[in-house]
Amino acid sequence: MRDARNSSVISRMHRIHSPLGMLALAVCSLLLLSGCAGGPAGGSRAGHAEREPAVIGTDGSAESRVVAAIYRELLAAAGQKARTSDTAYVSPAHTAQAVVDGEISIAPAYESTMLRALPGGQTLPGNMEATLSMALPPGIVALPAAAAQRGLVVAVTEATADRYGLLGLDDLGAVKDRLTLGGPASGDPGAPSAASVKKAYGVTLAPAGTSRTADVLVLRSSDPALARGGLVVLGDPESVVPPEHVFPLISAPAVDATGRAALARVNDLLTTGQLATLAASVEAGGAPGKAARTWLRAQGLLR
Amino acid sequence: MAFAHRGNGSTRRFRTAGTLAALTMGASLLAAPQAFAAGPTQAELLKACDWASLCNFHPQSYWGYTGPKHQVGSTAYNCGTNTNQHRIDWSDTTTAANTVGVSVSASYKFSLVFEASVETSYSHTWENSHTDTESNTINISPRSVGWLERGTSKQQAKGWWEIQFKNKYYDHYVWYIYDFQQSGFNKDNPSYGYVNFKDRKMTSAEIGAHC
Repeated sequence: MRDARNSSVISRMHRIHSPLGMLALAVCSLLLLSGCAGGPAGGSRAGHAEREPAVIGTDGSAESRVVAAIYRELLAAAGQKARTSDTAYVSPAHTAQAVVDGEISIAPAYESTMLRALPGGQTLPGNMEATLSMALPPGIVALPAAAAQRGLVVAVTEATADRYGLLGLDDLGAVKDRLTLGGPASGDPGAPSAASVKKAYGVTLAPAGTSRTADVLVLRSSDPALARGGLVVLGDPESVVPPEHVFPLISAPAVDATGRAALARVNDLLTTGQLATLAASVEAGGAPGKAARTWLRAQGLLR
Repeated sequence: MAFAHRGNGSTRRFRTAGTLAALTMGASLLAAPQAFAAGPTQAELLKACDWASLCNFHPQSYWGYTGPKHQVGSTAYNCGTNTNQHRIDWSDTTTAANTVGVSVSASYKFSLVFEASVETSYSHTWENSHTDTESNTINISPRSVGWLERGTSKQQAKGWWEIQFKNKYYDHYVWYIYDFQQSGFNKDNPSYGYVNFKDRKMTSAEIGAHC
């Protein structure tokens, strides 16, 4: 049952649901009774929450709306009702904050955007799952991320990938030819440069500015060329590009184990290219729900 | 003074009665906090991980540190007039402990969940129990007592537990344990640990007892 929400997550998670509980808490606070916490000295304490209806929020972008629709369809197929919030938040960071504040219970979120919105936790370079866990307050969970990313991606043509056996930027080290690095997004903030690729992977690439004919292309994940040109997005194990994989950010009580398993099934299949195609169809006027259902059926995730 | 005293009597009686009532209430709460808790203990929740529909540990922080100093092995006494070498054999077991007070054993699912979480999140090996067995030879000055003092390399993770149930458990489907901390031996970072030789002159009582 969803109560009127407090803006503080901690206070939300510690809500006391009965007058008796209120009295107990007040007396505990006054008398500092450690026994009320139900545990020994050391500070841990128990609390509870009620199951919540799954309310999915989006930032209004085609990408966010179609991912939200995918989450809704998967949860429904798993027997868990979910609805989309009437509120469209202005950005992914605002959407994530709305989950933390308890206004909505699920949202498509992005890794580095999430961390910028909630700074202060310990960070573990190369371990995004743990870093997210440490950034989020109790009661809010970052479920495993999909392969799809937003923001910037590094890609090559299928022919280049086949010729050199490229799956990730770390494979470039084995390439004897001197490849060029450039593309329409190569001037964007955070875009990888020849210098940053050299530092991270020890690979020397020749800068090619914003040329679309560069061997290694820096593109925005929404670039239609990704789908149209059948480009292969390269992996980036050293995170030269700040990782922005999309993942379900949830309020813990909103999704049970079955729902979480259902959401996880999409992760390997939803690639950056697939997401770009889905977003393009929504931008062209398609309904997010219909696009999501069609894609999920094609992937064998929905009957 | 007497009038003033009597004049305040009713107020005093009221305050006394109020104070007594508060103390009685407080005492009853102290005696029976469970009457107000009306929920599972943290230990019950952790053990319920064995059969809950979902049991996850969400790490929030991790750190390595040096455990409290303690003596390992026996104390050696040098009653002679020259510096002597003594061999001290010792065995020291470090067991994992947590803020809930539940013994950490592989027979509980929560223990396995915690171990997997720490190993995945922080790339550190977790051991619920670790025993070091060593021998150290120390030089003890004349008429002195010597021993080994150890600070064990330890690791600790803090986080929150999320435990969900298919059917209500103590009236709720979803339970948490906040600010849970568990410590244990730090196999991957021995630099936090030390074994130091300590000695001091024997007291006359020790000379009488051991020499």
